[in-house]
Amino acid sequence: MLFNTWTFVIFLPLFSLAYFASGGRVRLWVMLIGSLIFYAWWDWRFLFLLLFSSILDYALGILLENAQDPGIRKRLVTLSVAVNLGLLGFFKYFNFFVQSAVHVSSALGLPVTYDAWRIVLPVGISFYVFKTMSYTIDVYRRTEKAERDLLRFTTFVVFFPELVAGPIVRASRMLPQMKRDHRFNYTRTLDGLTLIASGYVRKVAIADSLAPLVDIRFANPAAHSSLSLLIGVYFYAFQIYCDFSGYSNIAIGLARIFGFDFGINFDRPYWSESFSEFWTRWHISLSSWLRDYLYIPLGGNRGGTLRTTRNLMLTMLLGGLWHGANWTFVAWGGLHGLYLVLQRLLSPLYQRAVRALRIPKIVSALLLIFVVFHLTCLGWIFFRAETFARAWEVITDIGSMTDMSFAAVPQKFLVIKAVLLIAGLVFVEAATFLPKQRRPVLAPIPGETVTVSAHPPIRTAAARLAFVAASVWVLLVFGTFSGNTFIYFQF
Amino acid sequence: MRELRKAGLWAVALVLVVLAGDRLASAVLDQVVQRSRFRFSEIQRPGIDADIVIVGDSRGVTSINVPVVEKIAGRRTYSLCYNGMATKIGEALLDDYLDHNRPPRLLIVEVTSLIEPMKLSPELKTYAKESPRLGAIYAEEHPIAARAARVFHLLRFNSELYLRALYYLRRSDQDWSNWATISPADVEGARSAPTWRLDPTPGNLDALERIVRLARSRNIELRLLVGPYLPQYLARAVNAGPFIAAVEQRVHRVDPSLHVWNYAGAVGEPALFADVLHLNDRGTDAFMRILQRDGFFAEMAQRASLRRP
Repeated sequence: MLFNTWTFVIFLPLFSLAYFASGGRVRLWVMLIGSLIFYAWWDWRFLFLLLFSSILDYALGILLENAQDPGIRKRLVTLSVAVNLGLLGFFKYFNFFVQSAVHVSSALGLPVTYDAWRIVLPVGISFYVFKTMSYTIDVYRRTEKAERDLLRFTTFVVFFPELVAGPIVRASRMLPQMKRDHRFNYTRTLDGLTLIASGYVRKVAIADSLAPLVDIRFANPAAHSSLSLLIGVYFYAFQIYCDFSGYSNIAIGLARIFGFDFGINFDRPYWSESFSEFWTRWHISLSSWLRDYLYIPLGGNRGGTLRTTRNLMLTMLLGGLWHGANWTFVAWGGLHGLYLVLQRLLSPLYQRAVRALRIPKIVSALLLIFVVFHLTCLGWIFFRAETFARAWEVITDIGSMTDMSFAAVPQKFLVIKAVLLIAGLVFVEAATFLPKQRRPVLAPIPGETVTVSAHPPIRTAAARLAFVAASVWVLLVFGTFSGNTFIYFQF
Repeated sequence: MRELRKAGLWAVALVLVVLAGDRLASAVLDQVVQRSRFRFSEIQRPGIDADIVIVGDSRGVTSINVPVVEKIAGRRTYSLCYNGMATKIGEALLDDYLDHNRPPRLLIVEVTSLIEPMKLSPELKTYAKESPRLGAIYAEEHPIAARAARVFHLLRFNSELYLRALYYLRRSDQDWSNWATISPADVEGARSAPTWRLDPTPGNLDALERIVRLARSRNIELRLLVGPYLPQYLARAVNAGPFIAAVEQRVHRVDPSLHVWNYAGAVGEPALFADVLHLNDRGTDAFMRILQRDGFFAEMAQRASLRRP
């Protein structure tokens, strides 16, 4: 089930009614059954895989907590990691690795034929596997207590707002919240609706308006002028941002209505002045996961330049691979790893130059935002292109600057509409940088973490009403109601 | 309970604000539709009264350049052609045009629009209020969306047609032409392109037959035209001849004297094309000279002067 389908529009009120009409453990059952229906709408057969992963990590969590012998504990956590990565490896990467091996073998003069297996990628597997894996690692590290209630643990894994495309909400954040009974709360519901409205505007109005303009350019770069391709790359940068942050906002908003605080997953990433800042603003739940469970265990930035470089590159390469079974994703991750390494080397030189030339702070900041954004766009070309050849074709065609006139850009009216939508988004985000506006958007709820979001503060019921109403009007005039899938579903 | 009541009141207020804003904003946006000089808007008002009217899709737009025709024929000319427009939609536009303007002396129909599917139909919602005919086609093709648009009026403005209406608010759109030139690679590619067919849809053929009846009943001279294709691409068409025969067979039910002016292969120079389907601005000029040479407009002028002194 997708958030932008009519099925979900029917599902949500029914689920909400059952959720708020129940309480205690009955409510957990409602959450579990509702979430399983949500997932089964795509393919019920993969429910077994989802439940297997949940029950296995539930059992391993308890065994890990009970075990005192370090050797046994290590074996248990290794089993959890191996099974989770094994599931991911088989469903997502099996054909990729075998085909890569076949290519290498052929290149070495040992031709091998291989017919790719028809393996269906279970929706959300990349997200729920990371969620359960981090739980067992936390229990192993004794930073998290094992959950002894199977119903609560399974509900935590399958809770529908974050099940299929994140954010990756960790057990340490979610399980304590699941122990509280969440009654209907007016303020929280309005907060949630505000986030959901902004999410739909990002997805249905902006991302889906950009999608066809991006698709035609990447499908046949040769048919487009340099300017047209450059526009396509900029549009993809905003398409993927609005698509995924839109999904995240809807998921976070839904959770908010049901009483849960997921934190934030995107925080105005294209305003970053460095790549390290970018990765604290983009897909925050994944980047913090990679930091805590990969980069830091590898040694982080301890141990000198060479080791830090190795750790950064490994983390980003694997982060790239997480996004999909294609070497173009690995290249995208590698490029970001390289950016981070170069930033560590060049940043002191740049700061010295800024001081020596007395460049005003604002000018320096804008220059860095410009550079970081454009290098990020370069990375998106590899992320979006299906092959290296296609990515290279886009880069060289843009670089040739053969035709930079707007007259040669097809579908001008749709391009202008897209530019206006992006300008609106940039304006809203810029407004949040005003000093007075840098306060949390969502009202604090007793006992919950205060969350901030990339929107101007909307505090009163009237302001929320105006925001949601304006979002509805924007959707009516600019929305694309074809039920386009979310990009991150394929990951 | 108190929390639920507050939320219920907020929801009611939201619905009222959304609907009020929807009505207010749509009334403002509708002014653009009513005042624009974009062809879909302009034909809903009197004052055009052209001597020559052209119906067709994007090939109609690029084959027959309005300013050039006005120059060589010395007649006020108006194009109802639009990208991807099926003949059935063109018929509705023509009917709307005739509701507000006197009949033209010459009506040109670029008949390859007979193969166009109804892919332009979602856009027609913008003119559903101004034109009951376009509204009926929209409701027929998209019944659920049409009902939604009755609740939320702003949905009508969610279209490229509206953006064009906005762009052409103060200037005419009758000077459209394509400035691009097809690349040598695309010309080569056309030689090995997959074979393709010209298959008219039944709905478009019915519409063409009605257009012929209308022309006869209003004493309008009618020309059926096939504009130029890139010859390399035309060579890949498997049924160009049978297509012309099928069109003529259909219109002969109403007027046996009608024939298709077939210029599909009339322009041979690839540099005169924007792509395989469309002439560029230089190609249009060249094609207009060919039509002038063949007496396409002159003959009309003689006949028209006989019939309408």
